[in-house]
Amino acid sequence: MSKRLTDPTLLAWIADALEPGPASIVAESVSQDPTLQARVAMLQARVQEPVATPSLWRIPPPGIPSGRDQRFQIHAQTAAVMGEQELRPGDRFAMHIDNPGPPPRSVVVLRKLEDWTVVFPVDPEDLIGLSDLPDEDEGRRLDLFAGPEAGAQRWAVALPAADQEIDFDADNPWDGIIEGIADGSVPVTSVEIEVLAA
Amino acid sequence: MPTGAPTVKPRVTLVSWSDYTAIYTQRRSRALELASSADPAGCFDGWRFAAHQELCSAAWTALSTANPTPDAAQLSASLSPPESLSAPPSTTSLSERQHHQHLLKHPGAEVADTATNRLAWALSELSRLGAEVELRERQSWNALTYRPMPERDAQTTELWAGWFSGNPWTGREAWDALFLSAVGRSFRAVAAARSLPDHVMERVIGDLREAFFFRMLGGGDGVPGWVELAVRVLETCAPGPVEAVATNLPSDGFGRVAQCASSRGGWSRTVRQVFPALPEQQARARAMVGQLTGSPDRLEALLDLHVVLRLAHTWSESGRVADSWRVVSQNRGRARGRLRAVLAGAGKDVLLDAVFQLDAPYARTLAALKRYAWAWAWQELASDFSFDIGRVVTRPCIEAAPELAPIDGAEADALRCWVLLVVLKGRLEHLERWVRTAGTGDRDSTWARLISDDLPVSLRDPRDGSKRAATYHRVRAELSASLPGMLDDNRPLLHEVASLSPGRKLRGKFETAIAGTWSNAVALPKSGFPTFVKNANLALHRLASIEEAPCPND
Repeated sequence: MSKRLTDPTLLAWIADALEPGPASIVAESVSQDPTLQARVAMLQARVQEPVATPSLWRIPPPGIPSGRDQRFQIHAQTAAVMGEQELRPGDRFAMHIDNPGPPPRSVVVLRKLEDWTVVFPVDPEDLIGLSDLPDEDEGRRLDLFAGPEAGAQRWAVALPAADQEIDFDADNPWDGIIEGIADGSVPVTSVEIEVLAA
Repeated sequence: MPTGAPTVKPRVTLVSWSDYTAIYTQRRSRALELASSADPAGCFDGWRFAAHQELCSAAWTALSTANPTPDAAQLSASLSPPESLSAPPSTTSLSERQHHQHLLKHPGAEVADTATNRLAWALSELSRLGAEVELRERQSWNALTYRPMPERDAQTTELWAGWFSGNPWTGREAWDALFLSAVGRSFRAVAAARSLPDHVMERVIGDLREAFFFRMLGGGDGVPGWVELAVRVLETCAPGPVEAVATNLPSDGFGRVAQCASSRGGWSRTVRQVFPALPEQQARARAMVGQLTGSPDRLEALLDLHVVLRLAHTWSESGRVADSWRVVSQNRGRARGRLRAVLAGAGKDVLLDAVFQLDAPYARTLAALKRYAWAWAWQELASDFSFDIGRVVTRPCIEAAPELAPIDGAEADALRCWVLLVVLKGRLEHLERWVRTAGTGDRDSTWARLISDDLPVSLRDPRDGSKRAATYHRVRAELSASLPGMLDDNRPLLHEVASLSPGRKLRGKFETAIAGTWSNAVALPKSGFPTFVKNANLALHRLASIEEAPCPND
């Protein structure tokens, strides 16, 4: 009887994801079969690890625009910027940002290393508005340089209202933006680019 | 399993060998008696339609013409004289299902393979399966106890209020704190089921952490995840998931259910057998609405009848009698999915009162979420965990324009055959995307030829005289409901093709394998046979991997 129960079924049972009827069938088999009990114990270890505490930056994975009322998309263009088809560490690439609409907005660019890190702006004078970026058919164009590591790199753009104050002298100048992203008042979108080894 | 869990499950109910043999003896005698008398009365005791004479007649007609083909072990496990039964299993207290499996492995006396015995086998099997359906699909839901947990219940109610009011943002942290770890377990379980490497699993869990809230929030035109979840939460209510959902359908809900059922796949055949005097599909749909309105419990009766008819159909196909429980669970699962989709599509206002009247909302939400997350995780796996929040877990019944005739009879067979060709050409995922979204997201030339050259012209939507490109609303509407069933119907053929050995005679072997089942409306392929074998294997592997429920009789 034990070989009738596959690992996916046992895993569903362990995750408590089966409906009551199928769950009762698995429970019957497991209760009678020491081999299955051992298998269940082994599989349990694979699913019990907790989900780690989220980052302070509640930035969704690529493809999911975040924002309470206004959301936007960004499109990473990794070819044609330098006439190359592939992106290498340090290469320039472009992001096109859809305008989520009023009010006027500032642009904050982040990169995911161990955690999300603001790469732009670093000083008050770096602050730019979305409307300051070149307006192209695909959206507002932002040129960036790929990081030095090969592989998948995640980038994000947050668009706080232009009048939102950012205190660069504070311990964490980004508290207000972090809070705004978490409560949906600051729209944010991430993108993943693939960088080949140099 | 976790102890002190919010949901308390009943102990496993086992029966002794002597009790089982008493049940067996009674079931066997009754089946032999009914098979000899050829009288439908009493044949379907244990099924919810047993009290409805016209439904029993429909079931009897299907069963008596099915000519099931059980093998010797199956005949013996149901009809051997009790005194010839093998020794009891080493563990004498088992479930009825396990005792039956023991008999299949250790047959008693041989039973003559006669028409009467085959019918008696079918009746005995239906009696056994009817009891299993009652136990597993209805009683097991009611046997659960959802434990009130005042603090978490209050939090959960407040969070539901956030979703219903359109402002869940302030509750995001609390929502994650209460429910994210359970969702993470389902994703880890699915990743483990497919043996994904640790670094992939960690990437998936990292993305899930941020995607969970947005999945609930939804995006695009689909039903938001929180609405899908709310419907699943209602499924936890008495008297069981079907009636609990049916009871909450709005006034036009049964119309949608009836329209979908009367015009799609296997259900359309069931509805036709329920109303044999009504030749028009729309008339049958109206009659079905008439039966269901005010009597949501009738839906369980119709669902049971549908399952019995599907069993009879399956048993009529050589070599498929062993699939019985899979037929039961898949057909119930699909019908319940359709029902959930109708309720989810009815709008949040319909759900509001029902959700806020629940006792133990935390335990019910958690239980529903774990099942939702399991289905969601398999869906994400199929798209490499891209976390597209526009997709819905609950597949909707796409409504074709009412003037488009349902696909039925020879057309349905041609469509099934075309689906087989799509699978053999390795484009099953394209087909699924196309049914769901009307596009495939790429410019695949093989898919383009499948649509433009291989799909029978008669299945295209009728042209309105203009020169616009062909449209396929009718096919997509049909497949939105019946693709899983068609894949299931094609499974034996896929097994045959998958087992073909390569070589110069492969084309001949392929044509022998599909002889008698290939529709004349679909052109026979002339090349690509080695690829067909590979794709048949891949498709079978994929179909097996997306089974969400265990099939005790497989």
